[in-house]
Amino acid sequence: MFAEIDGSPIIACVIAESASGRWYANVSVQTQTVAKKCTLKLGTQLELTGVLHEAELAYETFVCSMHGGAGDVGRFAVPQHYRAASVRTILTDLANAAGEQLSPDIDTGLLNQQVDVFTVMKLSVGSMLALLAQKLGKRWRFRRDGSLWLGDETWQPYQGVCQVALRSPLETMVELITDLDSSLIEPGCTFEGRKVTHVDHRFQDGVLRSRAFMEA
Amino acid sequence: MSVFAEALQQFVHSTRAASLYQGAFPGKVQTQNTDGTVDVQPDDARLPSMQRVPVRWGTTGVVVKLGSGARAVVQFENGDPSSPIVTNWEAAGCDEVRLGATSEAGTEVTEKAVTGTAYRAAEKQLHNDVAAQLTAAAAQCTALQVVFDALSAIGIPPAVGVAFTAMGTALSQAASQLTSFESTAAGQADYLSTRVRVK
Repeated sequence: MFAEIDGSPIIACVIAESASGRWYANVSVQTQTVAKKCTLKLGTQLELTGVLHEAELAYETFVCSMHGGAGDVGRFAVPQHYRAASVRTILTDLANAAGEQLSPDIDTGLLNQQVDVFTVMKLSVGSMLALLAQKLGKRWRFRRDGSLWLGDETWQPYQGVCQVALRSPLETMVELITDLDSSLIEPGCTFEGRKVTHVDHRFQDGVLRSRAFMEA
Repeated sequence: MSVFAEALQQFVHSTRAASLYQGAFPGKVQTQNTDGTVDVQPDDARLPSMQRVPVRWGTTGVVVKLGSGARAVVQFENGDPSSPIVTNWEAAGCDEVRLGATSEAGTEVTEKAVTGTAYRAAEKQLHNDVAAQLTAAAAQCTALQVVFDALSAIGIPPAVGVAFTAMGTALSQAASQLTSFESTAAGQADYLSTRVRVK
């Protein structure tokens, strides 16, 4: 199976994608040649562009931790009291403080929406994004291309080719073995009519298993 | 960091951020705007300078004219970053307080405003007039008590005279209390100041 990060073959990896926030990946490689801004590819359909967070030697392999985005939403936001500001203004300021780029998929109507009052404290940009999204009744997360997205879920049915390896009603979870030339399941879609809110992808020994957690 | 730890960290950060908006942040008022809102600079550097923040005076019908540098507390209603308010004022920094009575619909009543001193003078006059009337009534009771004592010889029960005695004593004491109140320092001082206007 085709699996690499910045051109280096991947031994194994775990990817966590949540409906809100940034995705996160731990990738095991033989040699550490991963750049600060890196791209993880699994098969022909999954490509994640993000930032190398840390790399450490473990069990004779390098484990690279990367997360979604181009910068770091852990950085502090610039305190600002907004009055009659557009969502675009607030969101752009937050993105700039973290070194992030807005997704072109953000609805223009939402970006032009006016916010009467919003006070940004000197907290992490990620925390402020969560509070802004909560006020607007939206979700925010990093897309797989590393851009910052805010908006409503479309809850489109998952169309990928896969086998259900396990069903866990207790966890409202299914484990899928996905055809690698097919799209991988992600938060924001539905599977068998249920809303998917979190996905863990685990790649090892040439097999990719995806655990999709859904709303009860 | 494990993917679990990352998720936990994101959760903790967002929860902590939300809880910070539940806090109370002392600060200094920079400007009071004509619409009653204020521009305020919180002491905590994590907060920005904030403009046109609504004020909660703590009671209805109050209008306060602030001096520069008045100190208060910035809070966020329901911990919402879009609902900042200023409240909990320190005593210093207030130039004028107006107590404005309002109707249920919120419209100010139109009675003429009087200053505290004028109101106080009118009330003192009223007290003195009432005390004089009470004293006169007490004297009447004493006179009636004498009459009924004399009439006891023809069978009027002595209890009637006793009752008038008690009534006269009570009226006399009430008059004395009003007079005493108006003549002591407490009575002179413990009232609305000249800086308060009653509408």
